Amino acid sequence: MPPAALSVHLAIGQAYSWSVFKSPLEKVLGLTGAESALPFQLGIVMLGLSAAVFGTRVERNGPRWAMFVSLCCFCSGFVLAALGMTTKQYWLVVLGYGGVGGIGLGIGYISPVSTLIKWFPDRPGMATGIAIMGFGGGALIASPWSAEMLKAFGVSYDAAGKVLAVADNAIATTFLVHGLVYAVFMSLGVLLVRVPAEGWRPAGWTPAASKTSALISTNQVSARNAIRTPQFWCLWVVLCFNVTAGIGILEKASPMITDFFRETKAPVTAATAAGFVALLSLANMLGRFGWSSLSDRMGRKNMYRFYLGAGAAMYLLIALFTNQSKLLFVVCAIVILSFYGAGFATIPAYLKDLFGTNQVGAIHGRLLTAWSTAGVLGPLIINAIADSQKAAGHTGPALYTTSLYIMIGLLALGFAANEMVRPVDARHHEKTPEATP
Amino acid sequence: MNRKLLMVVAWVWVGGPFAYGLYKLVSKVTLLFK
Repeated sequence: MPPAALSVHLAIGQAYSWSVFKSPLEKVLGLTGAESALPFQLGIVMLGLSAAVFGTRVERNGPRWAMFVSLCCFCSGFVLAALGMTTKQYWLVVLGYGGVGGIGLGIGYISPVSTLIKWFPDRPGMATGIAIMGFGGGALIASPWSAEMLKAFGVSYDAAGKVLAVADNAIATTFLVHGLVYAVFMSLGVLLVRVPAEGWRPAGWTPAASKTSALISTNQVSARNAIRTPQFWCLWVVLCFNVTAGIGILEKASPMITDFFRETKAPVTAATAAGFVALLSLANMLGRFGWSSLSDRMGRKNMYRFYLGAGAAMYLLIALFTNQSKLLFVVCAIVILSFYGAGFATIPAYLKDLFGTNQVGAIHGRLLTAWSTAGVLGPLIINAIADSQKAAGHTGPALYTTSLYIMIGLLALGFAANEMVRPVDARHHEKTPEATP
Repeated sequence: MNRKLLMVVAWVWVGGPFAYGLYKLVSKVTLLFK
């Protein structure tokens, strides 16, 4: 089951490497930076919306159906984008990659979640951590692969990475190859995925043995009822603000480290900034697996206390020490990004603890609207503040200090929301034989 | 297909590209310490 989940998540995780296509698109179609980001932004919005809308259907029809639909949407999104580039119709690229492909992202993202939890009821945090780490790893594969393919099909760059020329149909061919290769790659998941038999349990494990906290329920709550509980909305706030805080650094990582140390004795070069961004990607990915696995031992609520509380402390350290220590800055950013990834990976297991396994995929799908919100909120805050500070004549760390304090505030609100999570009231439980004592 | 062989093929299928991505990433990270 883990390779099946990974084959889907490693493919759809490509979305986070969209920036590779931005400069060539801007060169060919004369787009602005904001315009060339549209397919990615629409993709993330569609991810949240489709996961929310189709979550119940994914639960009903099973993971094989969901992975197949995801494959069809994600890959035909690339084919439509290729068609858009061939005909120079940018709206088709946006609609294809962002709209159709985005539906594939949402359905694919939630497709293995509940099945993995059913296969590993003793270690749900580790199980979902593996899959969601795959989403982080997708960009790691696609970034160098897409860049090399663009070069092979006729995109040339100067030494600083600026696009010099783009051959006819270079981007279209790259999109087409992506669609075909990902279709083959994801088919492994479609073929291999299996739901465990009803009542299947790992040898020697009983549900009662894992019920080590009042927050771990053996009752089931439907997706329809889950969104009527305060617990769902508390976790929505937790996820939204944890992601917003992480995106705050991720979005501006390269210019941020350059601006922070510009006026010091050891300014950061473009190559070093690229290394820093790569290091953050690694932290994001490893945090998904490492912290989420640890949550099986520490408990989900405690782990979110740690992510949000220690995350706020890291932001505070950056705000207080600004450019006094490069090492401190890098370490704090690594920890923040590991918590950002962990927040995504631990949430399905938290939902399973509170609402049971039956509809955890559908509930997770609805919760992902928090990600879509954060995807807009995080960059908006940090870019707007950096721009206004620049306009006011500020330079260096001053461009970001206000944003850092806002992020601390958001993490504190997330911490408070996590503290408000209590066991779900019995009136929301489904009346199943398992639920009645 | 033999179950063990299928497991090996499946892990190589996802592990191969992942190792390539990881290698590229680590070589970029080393720039930070040069």
